[in-house]
Amino acid sequence: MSSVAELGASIPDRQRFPRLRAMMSDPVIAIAVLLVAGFFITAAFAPWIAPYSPTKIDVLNKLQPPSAAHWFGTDHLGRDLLSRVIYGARTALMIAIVSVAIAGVIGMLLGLIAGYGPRWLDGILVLTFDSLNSLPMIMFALAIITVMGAGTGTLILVIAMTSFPSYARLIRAQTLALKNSDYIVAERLLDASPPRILFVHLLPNVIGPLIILLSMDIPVVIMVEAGLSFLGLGVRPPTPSWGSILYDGYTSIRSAPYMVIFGGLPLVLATLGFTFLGEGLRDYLDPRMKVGRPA
Amino acid sequence: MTASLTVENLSVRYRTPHGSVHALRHVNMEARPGEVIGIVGESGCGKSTLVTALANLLPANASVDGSIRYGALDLTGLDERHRRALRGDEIALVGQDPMTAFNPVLTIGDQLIDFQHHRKDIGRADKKNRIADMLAKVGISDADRRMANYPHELSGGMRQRVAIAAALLTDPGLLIADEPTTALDVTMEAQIIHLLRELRREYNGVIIVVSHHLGVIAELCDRVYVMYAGEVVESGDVDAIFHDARHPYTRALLACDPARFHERLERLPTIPGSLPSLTQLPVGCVYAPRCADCFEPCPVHPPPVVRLSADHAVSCHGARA
Amino acid sequence: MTPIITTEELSVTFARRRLSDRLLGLSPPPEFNILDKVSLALMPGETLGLVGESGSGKTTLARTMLGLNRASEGEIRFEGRPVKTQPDFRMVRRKSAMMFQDPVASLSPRQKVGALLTEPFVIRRMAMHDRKATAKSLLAQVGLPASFVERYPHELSGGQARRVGVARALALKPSLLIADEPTAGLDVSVQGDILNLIAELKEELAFASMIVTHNLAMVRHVSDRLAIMYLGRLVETGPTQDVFDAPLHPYTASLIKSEPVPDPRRRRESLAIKGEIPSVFRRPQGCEFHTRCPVARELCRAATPSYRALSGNRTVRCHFPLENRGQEPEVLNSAFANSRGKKHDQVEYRST
Repeated sequence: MSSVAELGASIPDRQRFPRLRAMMSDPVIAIAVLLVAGFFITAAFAPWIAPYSPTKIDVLNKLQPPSAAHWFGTDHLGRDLLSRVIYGARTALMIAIVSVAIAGVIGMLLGLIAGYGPRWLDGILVLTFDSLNSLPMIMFALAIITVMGAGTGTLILVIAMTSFPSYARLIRAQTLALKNSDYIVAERLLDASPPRILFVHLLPNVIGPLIILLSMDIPVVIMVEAGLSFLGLGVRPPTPSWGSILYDGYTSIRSAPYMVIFGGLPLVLATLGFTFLGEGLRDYLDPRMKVGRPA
Repeated sequence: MTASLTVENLSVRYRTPHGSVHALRHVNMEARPGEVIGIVGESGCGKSTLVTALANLLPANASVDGSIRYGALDLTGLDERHRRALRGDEIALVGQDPMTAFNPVLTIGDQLIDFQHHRKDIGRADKKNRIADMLAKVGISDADRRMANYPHELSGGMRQRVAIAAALLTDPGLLIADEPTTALDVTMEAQIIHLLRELRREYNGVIIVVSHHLGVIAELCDRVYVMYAGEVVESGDVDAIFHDARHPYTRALLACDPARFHERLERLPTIPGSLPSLTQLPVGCVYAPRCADCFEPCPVHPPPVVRLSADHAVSCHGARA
Repeated sequence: MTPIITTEELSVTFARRRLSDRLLGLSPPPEFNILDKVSLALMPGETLGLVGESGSGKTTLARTMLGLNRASEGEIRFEGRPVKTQPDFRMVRRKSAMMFQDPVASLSPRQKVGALLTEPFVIRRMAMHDRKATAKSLLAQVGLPASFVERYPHELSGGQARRVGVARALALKPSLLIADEPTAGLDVSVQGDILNLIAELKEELAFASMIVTHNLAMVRHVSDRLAIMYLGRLVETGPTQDVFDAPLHPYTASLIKSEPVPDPRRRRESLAIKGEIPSVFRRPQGCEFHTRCPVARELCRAATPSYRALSGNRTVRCHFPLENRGQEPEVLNSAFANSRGKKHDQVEYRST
């Protein structure tokens, strides 16, 4: 979508370049970008990076401490922990990005419609958002999982259903603030169609904060996935997931404490990386934050 | 305290990623107690930088040369603590939009009491009485009711009156009114001008009125400084500026004001060209590229300051004393 | 000649509902007139100045004419045909254009100037062989370089954005231009540029225009006729020069006298008008201006005046119209005769 490019995050064109450079000169953000990029690379190239198969059971070598052969040691079934952590990044990112993207698109569309559409429709949509928001996520997840069975698809559905209302509310608020602005009135005077007003004129101006929020929600979703997997309600074994590594680690925390450490570390780093990135985007994407002369 | 304000050779530069912006260059200015000084110019002329420099509010990326002397004090050399004390006490600022000057969640009365926090010698009841007196002076008769109001409950004109009262509560020696009527309707503008003229009768300090509106300057001021691209191009008695302007820019600016012509003009006069960039200034006179009277020395040498009389000075190659 | 647009007794009301009323529907909500029976006609090629302070309803009137607000009473006619339904208003909007007060804010911030200029053609499905060429010729028409097609609105100065606004408004060659404060926020040396540009294009494209403003000094040079509004009602209409020379309504006279005079020798000693425009929620009884009127009498407090048509194409809504008492003080120009003669060679008058 062109709006993403315009936010300056991905495509450094002539005008946006100074802003991107200024952003990268902040060490915290530079580290965040490195971390996030590292996770993406790890997830994308997992089969090439991982030294072993994450599901290969080798009971003879179970619960080995870190060594030259197994950098992170092995788990209670003798699986290589490093490989499981690497493949776990794949699971975590896939679930987080897919569910956040689905929630983001649904939230954006419904938010635009609620904000720009007729008042009665806005009322119905806001009621829907609030009802969904009022459901406790874990209880809702448990109910859905009981009905549909645990698994990656269910997990994505649960996360998307529970997080889109807050995105929709954000977009609705932004849209309401802009719908009577001069340039939207000017478009209405030209008899621009509602889709044109929504997608050409409103969307690029309301999506910035949503992208920041989405970025900051990715670690939350990774945590939720880990938590549900920890409870045995998330991805099904033997698919590697950081949550299940942690769960396995807890059962043998006395004999092999490194499992909890190496299972938890990527979770902490991913959370920090995405959160800092979100904060950085918020500071630098704000249109009021201009690189250039003083006012 | 009442004292004269003397600005000598004041230059302000902003350091930015695009180079250094020379927002003010070699500005000289003098104001004696009891005088109303007008600063007039179009956007980009440096009048807001001058106001911020006078109010000691320049941002951190500004570097200042020259001096601003207020009585015996040099305002450019003060530390932060003294500056703040001076701002609350001696220098008061009335801005264009009075809404932003007030805290929206406190009543007018509470804020006006708070403005007097430096007066440790008097109690809350006395402060309230002072406020009531001051509000009466700015034409607000029902002081008690207004003090209980929140800023958004007042109209723009009323807020501007309260802002003026707030500024005067601290007995400032220097009152700066930055575009005080720009946000107001014409009937309210006339009333605020009238109010400021009434107030100056009993006020002994210096009043500086900054405006782009020639009518406001003509109505209010004793002496006028005309600014262009960060420089004072002409200064003098208000009558000299409006009736005997010598700088081509001053004359062009006056000629552009449609209020000067009562017969319908088919074409409104304009000043062709645009402001020079403040990062790359012309070598000679800043106005030379737009000046109709430009001759050989103008684009090459900076113009001399020509004193036409005790008060009237113009920086132009074409001016003869 | 058929007027381009007329309003007949046009009213816009606004119901202030409290939450309890809305939920229970007990009492009909009180209604307030933002516009009250405004009748106005704009002839082809004419420039009308619609003058009033903030809160006078002048912007509401402009927006209602184009169908952005719904009129509660009265009728709008465009080129003689009544305008009632949405398709009718679409036809009006097709043939008219509006310039907004804040030139930058009326341009969609993430669109480039080129796209903004050609958008009217795209939306109206008008033939346009080459988008870039169309945009560039529009820019040339308003005196901006072709390279501006690549700019974003925030990269334009106030004057430049105003020119883009003019180009966009006139892209489809409308027969009516409504300009809301076309010089607000512009320096005096630039405001002439914009007004001259509009005047030039007006000669070329022959549209009628309505300039909505509170700037009397400006409007006297660009309008043929004036309509003065106060609190949602028209108080006076008439040819511009006549209104300035001899205002009939005391409000018009006060407005003219309130304008600061750029001459220190002619400072005003007394105030022409005190107080401020009341809220529409507390519309005064009788003549709405009596609370501030310097010549109000008993009748003004009791009865609402009706329109009076006077000779010379003038109307006034006042029980006691001024009779040539509001004569202008001696002409300012004579005081400047000397300096003005010189000014001709320093200042370009943009004559064509």
